[in-house]
Amino acid sequence: MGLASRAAAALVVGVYGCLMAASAVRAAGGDAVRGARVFQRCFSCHSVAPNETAQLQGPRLYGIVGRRAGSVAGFEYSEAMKAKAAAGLVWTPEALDRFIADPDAFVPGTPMVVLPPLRDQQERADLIAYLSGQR
Amino acid sequence: MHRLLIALTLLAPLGLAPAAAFGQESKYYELAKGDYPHDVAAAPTGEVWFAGQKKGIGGRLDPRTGEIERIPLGKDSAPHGVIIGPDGAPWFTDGGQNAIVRVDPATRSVKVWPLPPERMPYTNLNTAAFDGKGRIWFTGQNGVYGRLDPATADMTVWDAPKGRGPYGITGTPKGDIWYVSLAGSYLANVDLETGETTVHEPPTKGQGARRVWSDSKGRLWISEWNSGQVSMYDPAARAWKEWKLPGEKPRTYAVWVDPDDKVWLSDWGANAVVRFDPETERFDTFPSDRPNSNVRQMLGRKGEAWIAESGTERVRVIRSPVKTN
Repeated sequence: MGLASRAAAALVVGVYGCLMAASAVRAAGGDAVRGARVFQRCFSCHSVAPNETAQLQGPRLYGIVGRRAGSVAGFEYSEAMKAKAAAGLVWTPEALDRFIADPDAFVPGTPMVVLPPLRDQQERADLIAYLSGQR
Repeated sequence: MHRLLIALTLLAPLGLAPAAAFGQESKYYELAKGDYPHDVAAAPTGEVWFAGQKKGIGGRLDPRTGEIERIPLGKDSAPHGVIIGPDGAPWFTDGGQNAIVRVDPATRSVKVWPLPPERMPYTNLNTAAFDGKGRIWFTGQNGVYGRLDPATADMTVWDAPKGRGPYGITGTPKGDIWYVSLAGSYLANVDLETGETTVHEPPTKGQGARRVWSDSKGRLWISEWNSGQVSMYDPAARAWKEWKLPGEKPRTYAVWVDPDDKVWLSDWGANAVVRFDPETERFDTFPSDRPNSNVRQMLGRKGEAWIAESGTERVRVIRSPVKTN
């Protein structure tokens, strides 16, 4: 592939990525900037860095939106999450919203707790908008 | 043997079945759905407090009657930890309010000391401990630790080495303060005046230190989540020792050292509380009577180990015969 072709391909991928991210943000009605602040609640256990090396209690959230559940290589998922993954769970914005709102109701037995609970729908939308951009 | 089995059968419905054949007696207190006791602390006057993280309450249990009182701690409250201060009051590390909270045990009045928000609006406050000068030290899992002097309301917050991870914290009999980092997998000693930390790396890399507790000699006992071990650091000897918990895949979460220097731990892998005797290096196991008890913290007094079962929303006590000299 020539330089121009590679640049064109990169542009397509980049534009596609931006559109996907923007679409997810619009779909959720959230604000990614506010969502970055909400993410502080997740920060101690999760990272959005693509190559995180810290040994955290939760899986990496880089690229979480649209990803199959339980699919981060090398992460030791709970049996509860493995069962959901086997059932075909994909982290759509809607699935994430339900999970974050009440983790144990959506994935019974999950060790994840969101505390203080993210009861505010707008905060959840903001968080999902932020996560949608982490790709 | 038959008589023992009959006794066990008769006692079980009362919640008084012996935890194991070691002279201990286990009792469970059912809480309301959503009480979610994250941490528990037994006051010297008899009552037992728990941090009701999901409801934002300080829970007060009277073990004699089983009566439970719920004190709201404030808007958006979500307390993670509770300890009993030298004043006999419960002190909460409240992640939801990003504040240190005290409940007056007599009047039930609530006092809140918020952390400075400009530094970090949400620090994920974890646990607290008092030093020998009446000041309360705390950890924030997002990467901070701090100190509050309740007498003057002076509060200082420092960035932790290696960033995110500060978790359990303890005071020694001398009044020194030590904390551990879960993500950082280290033990740290804090200078009480300057706040500077000295990091002590454990022998097992990436052990995932959850909590820490001091014994009567000032030795630090650490529950290691990732490795499934309990480790001990002796500051006087500058030496570490470590032991793997029994079972196929232990996950050590809580640690508390009782007044007799026996080390109590929770093991999520075995769904049990474990007592370790440093002299004999023997583990005794006290399984929960329900699955997924998820014990995140324990704290007690002589002859009583109090246990917060966050997974079953119960408070458990294991009573041991008290030796008299």
